[in-house]
Amino acid sequence: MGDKFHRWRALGVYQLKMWIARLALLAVGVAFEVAARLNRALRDEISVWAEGFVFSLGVLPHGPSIAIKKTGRGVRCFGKGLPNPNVAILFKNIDGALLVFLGRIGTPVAAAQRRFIVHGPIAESSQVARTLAIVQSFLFPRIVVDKTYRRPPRLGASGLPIKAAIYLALVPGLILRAVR
Amino acid sequence: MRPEYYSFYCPVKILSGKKALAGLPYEMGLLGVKKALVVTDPGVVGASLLQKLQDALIGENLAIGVVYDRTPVDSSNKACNEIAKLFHENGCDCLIALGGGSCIDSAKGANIVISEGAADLLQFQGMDRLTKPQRPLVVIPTTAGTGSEVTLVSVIKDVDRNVKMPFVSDKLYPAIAVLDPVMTLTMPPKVTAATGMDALTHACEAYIDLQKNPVSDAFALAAVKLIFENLVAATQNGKDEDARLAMANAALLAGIGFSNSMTGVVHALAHAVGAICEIPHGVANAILLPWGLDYNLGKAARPIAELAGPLGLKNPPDNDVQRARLVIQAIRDLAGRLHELSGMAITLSEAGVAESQLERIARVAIDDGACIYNPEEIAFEDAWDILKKAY
Repeated sequence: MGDKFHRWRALGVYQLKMWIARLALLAVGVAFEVAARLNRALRDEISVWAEGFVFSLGVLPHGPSIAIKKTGRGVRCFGKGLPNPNVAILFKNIDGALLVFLGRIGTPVAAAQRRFIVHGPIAESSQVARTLAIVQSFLFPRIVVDKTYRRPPRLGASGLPIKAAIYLALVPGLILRAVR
Repeated sequence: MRPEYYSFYCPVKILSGKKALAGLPYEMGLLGVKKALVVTDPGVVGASLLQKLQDALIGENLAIGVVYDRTPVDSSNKACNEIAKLFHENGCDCLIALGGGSCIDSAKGANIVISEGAADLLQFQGMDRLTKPQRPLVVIPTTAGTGSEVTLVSVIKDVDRNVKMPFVSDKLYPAIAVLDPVMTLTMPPKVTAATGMDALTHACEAYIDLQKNPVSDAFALAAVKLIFENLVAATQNGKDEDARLAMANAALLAGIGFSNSMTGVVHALAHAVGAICEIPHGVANAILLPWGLDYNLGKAARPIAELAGPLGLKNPPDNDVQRARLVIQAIRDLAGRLHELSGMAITLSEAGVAESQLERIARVAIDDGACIYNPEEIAFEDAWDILKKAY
């Protein structure tokens, strides 16, 4: 009985973590779309990507993933991922992914701890990592960003309105991207 | 300073010492291989080092199936494909890389094509992308710097796009590394100095980077000590077998260290300098190392200061920043001494870099994978600033 209960409980915790990761990934996707429209630093970073460039973020082996595709001057998030991305950043397990998604550690430390693997050219992967740092600086509270990044991106005067726009877009955005 | 989490891996069997080459056939017998493809270059053949390998295999149950001796200065995807074709045509079952970093990386790249059955090497770019066990690879370095004989990395140039592609995978570790001092005796002083500084850069960056861990630290510190004790001697007198062997070990130790903690801003910049200006990697590292450490003083003064011990600095101050500055000065002094002995460049202008190239180098450098492991963030302006100082 004890063993059975433990297994059910562990399975429940695992499913909960998967849902948190899925929500966190969708939140990154929504924030990326909004910030790419409104933030100049992010626009500059993605301007070097070819039209149709796709990167994906996901959790191995069968966890959630999203894809971000460059379209025109902005990006579009696909909540169920896209096949054959140019760059794929894949967390090795759900616990490692949650450390990043919940703001416990930043991308540089996650890389240093080899929490994820990268498929695709390293140069483009570095650009993706920089864009994610900018997006997370809008998504997370300042105290978290200061703790997790070596030099947190400066949001500037336009930072707060962009942050507000992202938070307002989150609820409808999460629902929309979840089915896209 | 211990990381919250780390991993460490090095599955390479190491044969090190005088007559180490003689032990190779037995060790390869244990691997169950019979016919080797040797990857080397014209310089190695000209220095009769291929002959030494052939001599070591006389009377043994291991044959050299074919020799590929056209490895380019920068290992390329075309060379990897040619090597893989030769491997299949001659029915080989293992590879021996005999040479410097380019030969070793070419052999690793060819091994990917052979073992994965790949038509295109490009599809394996990235980290941990290989899925199949690689064919046994034996590495006999003829320089002492790259450390590639014990690393999980291979850098291959895509000749059509003129870009260097890193391949990173635990499966890329060679099976055996042979460090025999006779294989490095013919290295000219300038190459000895530059490759030695390459090893020092590996060790220093391994010791200060975000991925540093207690195990890689041990390797890095041991490497720094050996380099400071032996690099000048090896440059001064190339026939000094003890100094040569010590430097070969230093490069290996630094290689194990950085393979498990990666490199930082110095390598990011040196890769870009090499790609754009075709400056040898060791020379670029030698020039940029003091400036890269200086740039990281704000975030990594403590680990830099801790290098004072293996450097043998007498009575260093207690203050971390002051001690770190002394370490950086000691490294500058070493580079200066090597400059006197061998003519190795110690500024980018001296190495032949044009000032007009610095901006482009900085733009390329910030996209280098090494940047993410550096203690301090690196924006374009930061990279450009370091380059201007090193100019």
